[in-house]
Amino acid sequence: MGLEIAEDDSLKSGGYDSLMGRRRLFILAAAVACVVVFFVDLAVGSSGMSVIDAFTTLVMPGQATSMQRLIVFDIRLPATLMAIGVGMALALAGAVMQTILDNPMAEPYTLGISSSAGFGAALVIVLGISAAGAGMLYISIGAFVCSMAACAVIYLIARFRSSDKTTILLTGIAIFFTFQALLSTLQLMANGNQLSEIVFWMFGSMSRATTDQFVIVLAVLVASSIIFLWNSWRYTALKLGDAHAASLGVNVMTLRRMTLIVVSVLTSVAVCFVGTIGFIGLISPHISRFLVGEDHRYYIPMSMLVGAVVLIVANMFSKVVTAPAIFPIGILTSLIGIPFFFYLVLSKRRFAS
Amino acid sequence: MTLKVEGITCGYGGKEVLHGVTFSSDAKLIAVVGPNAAGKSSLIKCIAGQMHHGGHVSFKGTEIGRQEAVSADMVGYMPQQHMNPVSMTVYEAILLGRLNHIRWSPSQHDRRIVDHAIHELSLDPIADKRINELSGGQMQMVSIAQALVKEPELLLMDEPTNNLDLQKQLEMFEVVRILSEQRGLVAMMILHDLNMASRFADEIVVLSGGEVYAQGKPGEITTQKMLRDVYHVEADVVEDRDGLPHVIAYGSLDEGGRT
Ligand SMILES: Nc1ncnc2c1ncn2[C@@H]1O[C@H](COP(=O)(O)OP(=O)(O)OP(=O)(O)O)[C@@H](O)[C@H]1O
Ligand SMILES: [Mg+2]
Repeated sequence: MGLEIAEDDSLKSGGYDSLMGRRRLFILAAAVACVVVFFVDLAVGSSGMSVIDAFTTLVMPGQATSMQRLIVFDIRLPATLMAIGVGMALALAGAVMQTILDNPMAEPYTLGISSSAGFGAALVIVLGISAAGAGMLYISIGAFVCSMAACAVIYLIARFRSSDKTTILLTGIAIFFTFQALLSTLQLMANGNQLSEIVFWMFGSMSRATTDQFVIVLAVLVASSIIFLWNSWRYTALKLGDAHAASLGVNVMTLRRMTLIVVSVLTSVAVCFVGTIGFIGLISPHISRFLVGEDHRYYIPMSMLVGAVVLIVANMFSKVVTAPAIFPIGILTSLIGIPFFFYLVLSKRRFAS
Repeated sequence: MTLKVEGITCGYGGKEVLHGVTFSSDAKLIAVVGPNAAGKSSLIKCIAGQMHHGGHVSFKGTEIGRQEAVSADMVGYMPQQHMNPVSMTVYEAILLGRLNHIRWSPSQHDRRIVDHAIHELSLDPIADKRINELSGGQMQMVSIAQALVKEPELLLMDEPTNNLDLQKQLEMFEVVRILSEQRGLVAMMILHDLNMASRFADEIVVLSGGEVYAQGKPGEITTQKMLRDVYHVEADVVEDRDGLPHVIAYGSLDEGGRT
């Protein structure tokens, strides 16, 4: 207020500073955890190579055999990197979706973006385009095109129905069921080989990830996170409700539409390489909110870090649970996610903020 | 004229609720009164540029009534509905009032303004409390503080006295009055309590059925006739010790209100 404010008296509100300090500490801890699980994941695998050998290969690649280098750097590293990229991307998408739609259940999966990608992939598989050598590429393209189409439908309906958040959510759910039904139809039409391909897609997998794919995911991830972080104060204001955000000067409709477009590209890129992975986009923002609160300067990066940690851990388990076979990572995230989610919902505990 | 409202029309889904609202005023403290669903909130939303509307609004010669005026902090607007009960602290929520000035970290200046508002509205004891743990009145005070730290030239408040106890209401009026004297703030408030409106406002605008019924000084506005025409109540108007009109209501004149 304009009542004579002495510019020299010190700030009385120490509570806010200590809160921010605590949040920074949580972010730092999550970043450390991310680095730790990254290395552990590289050391773990189904090849029978000992953890100690794996660590030596990592730290001193020069002294390792070419076989050991192949396992660690060419087989495990791309999968682990992809787990980081996709984990962060899905968590980021879920985090901002929950904010703009004001709904704690919103994430790429519930809005049908993941299932439309799954349908796109299945369509390519059943049409037999994947018979050629570049099969994986076509499948990814099919998945990307379909999920973008689903997003376009959501976006257009939002555009013509005044960006109302309930409309967006209901459209997403309708899309989810539509593509789920279409996918089932395709499964009926598929032959044995195609069916196992489709199933591979439906449950998600990091095992076919390549470094090139990771670079694409990373590029989109960096661009989107910059855009989202740039708007972090506006998102925080939006948490108070549309009317209050608008009264503070936020153009709610524009923000919602812009976010929807960026989220579409981000999610489509994330799911088109690895298939359907649910729950990451749902639980990561919740954990993040418990740890660092609603301030999106902390909530956004924290969600990404949690998403990365959870998906790396899931990747690790997928290699050891049924070794030497790889257990589908999408099933694992659900198995980890569902009980944890129940715990979050049922215990009203809040850790920080 | 400081504030000029000319032929404002607006509606929801094709149903018009304001049928050309026109008034202008030089007063610093304006109260808008009228029965439920008269269109008070709609009018203030139009002035704040939060709603599509026909007609024009100008303030000190500048055309307002657009979102840009809010974004530029010329106009502050406090909505009637509560904020969502999220797990933000009171301090964080009030700080959001400085949204248009904050790039990444809030500056010392922004922080001082927030500190000051918190102190001025006696919110210090709850500054670090989460807003989902507040009482209705505390929540209302946070909303008010958030609107004040914006430091607007024109402050529009939709029922700011909701949920507030008597002392808090008077405190809130006092803070706004001081701001209007010191900084030339013009405040327009929607109020239901006619006695409070008389006490606070230099000028009262009575809205009824989407139109201006009357506008003027409290003494001219608050009459038995107005209470009968607009509110359909039977009442006496007496003078208090400051010569301000005081309403004593006896009962509703409508069938439904009689038992
Ligand atoms: N979001 C909305 N959608 C449709 N109609 C609305 C909406 N908001 C208000 N109305 C209608 O517009 C008219 C004016 O409403 P408004 O909120 O402006 O009244 P008000 O004078 O502020 O009433 P109150 O004293 O109850 O707050 C009412 O008939 C109401 O039903
Ligand atoms: Mg109202």
